[in-house]
Parts: sequence; structure tokens; C-alpha cells
Amino acid sequence: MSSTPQPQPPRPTLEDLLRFKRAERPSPEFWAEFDRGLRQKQLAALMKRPKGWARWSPVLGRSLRWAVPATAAAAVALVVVQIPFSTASRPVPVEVASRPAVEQASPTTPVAHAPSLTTVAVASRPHEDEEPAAVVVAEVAPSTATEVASVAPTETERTLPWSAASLSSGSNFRMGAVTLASVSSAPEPRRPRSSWTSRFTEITRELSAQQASERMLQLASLDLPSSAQPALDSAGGAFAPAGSTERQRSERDFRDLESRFGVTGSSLSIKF
Amino acid sequence: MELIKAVSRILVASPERQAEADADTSVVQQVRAGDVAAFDQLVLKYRERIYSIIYNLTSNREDAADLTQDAFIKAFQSINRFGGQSSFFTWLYRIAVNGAHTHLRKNRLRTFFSIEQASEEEKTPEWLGQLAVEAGAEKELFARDLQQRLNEAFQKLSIKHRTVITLFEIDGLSHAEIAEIMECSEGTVRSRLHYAKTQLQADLQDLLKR
Repeated sequence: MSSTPQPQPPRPTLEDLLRFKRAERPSPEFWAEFDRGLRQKQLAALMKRPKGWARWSPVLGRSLRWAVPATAAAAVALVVVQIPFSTASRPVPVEVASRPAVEQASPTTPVAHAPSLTTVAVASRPHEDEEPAAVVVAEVAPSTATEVASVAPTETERTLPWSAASLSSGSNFRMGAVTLASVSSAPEPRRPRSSWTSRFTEITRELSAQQASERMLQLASLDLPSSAQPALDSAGGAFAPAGSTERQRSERDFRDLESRFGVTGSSLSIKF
Repeated sequence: MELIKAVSRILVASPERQAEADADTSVVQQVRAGDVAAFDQLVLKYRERIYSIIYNLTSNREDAADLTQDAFIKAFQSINRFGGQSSFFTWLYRIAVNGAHTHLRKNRLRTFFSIEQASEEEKTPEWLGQLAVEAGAEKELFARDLQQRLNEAFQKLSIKHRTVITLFEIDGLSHAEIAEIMECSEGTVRSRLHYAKTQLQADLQDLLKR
């Protein structure tokens, strides 16, 4: 008995199966339909315009590439430039003494012709590291109050440097005070606030204690002007005692001024 | 089969392939210059290959047709951005594969087979008739069932493994070209190819030669 081996039925390999799968192809009719659909989509794509941001995105993309670092650099530069100004331009406290019969006027109100005007100007800088403070008070005697000018902070800042210079060169304190008011009301070209405060700071630094005392001595040696006498007379007994001679009155005023002017360190104070 | 693969690998760097790439580049230049009709040459040249890849990735002929059209439209719209660092067909394949991947990820839970008919010459291998006899089915019906079975096995693979085996076994691209299209290393391509084949063999074990 001889047994012949059964022939192995043909079995596919993985490559055969993959080749069979590769044979899955669409018919020619499919490609006609495919081409038609593609043509429509192509035309739609040609006709379609980008909307909204898509239209500007290429332009914005190009410009923003430089805008972002440029803006950052500008911001840094602005901060660097602003730091010194902001340090110098801190608001200067201005006190306006309010008394009865004191009415405020606008900075442009002329006060030079006020007949009974007496002026108190206080500029003090107690310490070098502190912010300079300025107080300007303009008042009249309660009985003869006619006009008071309260100077706005910006005006004060402009006035104080001038008043320091005027004290050294002027010959009459009262006239200086009158001039102070007139100058403070005179129109001046506007400057940036920071430059004013810087100027003020520079001038107050220049005004050392020695210079201040010299100026006090100069003031003390001054006579009251004759032109100011009508104002004093019209102010009443408080400022012009009846029956005294002009010389006596001047001496009394001088003593009064001397006692009221005080120089301490780097600060100058004038009191009434 | 191995010979075909070897020849196809040699062809990758062959002067013919280089001349083909140069021809594509000149057509691209024409399209860029405003000759829109020149793009039809590229469509006619690559539409079947692109469709075949996307079809084997999706196992749905309608989706494959739409995605193939979309790939060509996207290539047409972006042709000014084609830098020429790679060949045009690599660039076009990348667009098509990425579009198919996006579609598959969006429709991860939806699997609907719409299978093409196999061409006549591949319908009558000897093993197909034998398997049909063993199954007790008509050859034609068995061929349809086998196609369904193969597509199911493909869909069980991950998207990346499916892409690698499709590009290598169905389209005949080299490891280097697949690596360029999928933006990965050749080693990764080989690894994925080996894993995909192992998975397919395990899934189709009852059909394969023991």
C-alpha cells in the first residue's frame, strides 16, 4: 500500500492579501465624477476671498513682527525718561491760610494795586532729601480786606524762584511783595510741570543758608518805601500808628521785620 | 515581490525619479505664474495614487474622494508656499496624509466601509478559488467578504501604522520617502512597518499559509 501525500491547498501569504487589496481601484466613471467635483471646488476656491482676519493676517503678521519689539523698546524708553521727571515733579503741598474776610481770586487777578496788601512768603526746605514745600499767603487786615490772591500751586512754583532773586536785588520788601503778586499773575510761557519743579529744585539748592542770611541782612537794612506809606495809612492803626513820625515808623517796621524774619539752616521763613 | 520592492527602492534615487521631480517643479512654476490649467497635469498624474492612499486609510470611497479633492485644492491654494526643499509629490502626499489623519481623528467613532471593487485581474488568483471552495461560497461573494475582512484588519491598526503600511505596501514608497512624508526617522518607519505586518498576520491568521 502506498499512500500519496495530499497536495497542500494553496494558501495566500500576507503579501498576496496586500496585493489583492491593492487591486481595489475605482472605475473610470468614478474619475469623471471626481474631476467634475474637483473643478467645482477649484472654482469655488478661486472665487472665495478670505474673510475677516484671514485677509489681513499676512499683512499683520509681517507688521507685528517688528511692531512688538518696537513697542516694547518704546515703552522701556518712556519709563526710563519718565523716572527723573516723576521724581522731581511730585506735587508740592501748597497751603492757603483761610481767614475771615479772605476771598480767593484767580491767579490772574491783579493784586499789585491792593492798598493794604501785606504778604507772607514762606519757603522752607528742612532737609535735603525732603521735597521742598512752599507756602504763599496773601492776606489783608481784617478791617480793610479788599482783595486777596491765593496763588495756585503752579503759580507758587513759578513765584518762589523769582522771590528769592528779588529779595537779593530789590530795595523794598513790600514792593517786592507787590511785584511778587504781579509777576505771579503775569502770563508766562507754559513749561512742563516737571521742568518747573526741576528749576525750583535747582534754585532752592543754590540758596544755601549763608546766602539766605546775607539776604536777610540786606532786607533788614532796607527802609520802608514812601510809596508804600499810603497803603499802610489806609490799612488803619494796626499798621500805621497815628502820631508817629515817618522815621519812627520805619524803625518800628524794621524791628518788626527783623523779628519776623528767621533763618534756620537751609530754610527761610517770613512770618507776620 | 522582494525584487519589486528592491527595484522600487532603487528607483527612489534614480535619474527617472529626479526627472519626474524636475517636471513637477516646472509645472508648479507654471501654476505660480498664473497658468491655472497647468495644475490639471499634476491632478491627472497623482490623483489615483493619492486616492488609493486615502482610500486604504479610510476604507470609505466617498470620504476618500472628498479628501483627495480637498488635498488637491489645498495644494493649489498653497502652491506659492511650496518651497522646493522636497519634491512636489512628497509635499502633496504630506498634505493628503495630514488631511486624512485629521478626518480620521474627527470621525474616530464612525467606521463605515464603502469598498471599491477589485480589478478583474486580481480576482482570479489560485488561492482565492481554493478559499472560496473551503468556505463553500461563490468566488465573487468570497472576494467581497475578503475585501471586507482586509479593510477591517486595516482599520484595527493605529493611524500611524496604517499609514506606514499603506505607503509602503500599497503605494510602494521607500522608507526614506515615508519618513519624509510622515516627518519621522527611517528607523521609526521600519519599526512601525514591522509592527503593522505582525498585527495583520495575527488578525488574518486563519487565511494565511500555515
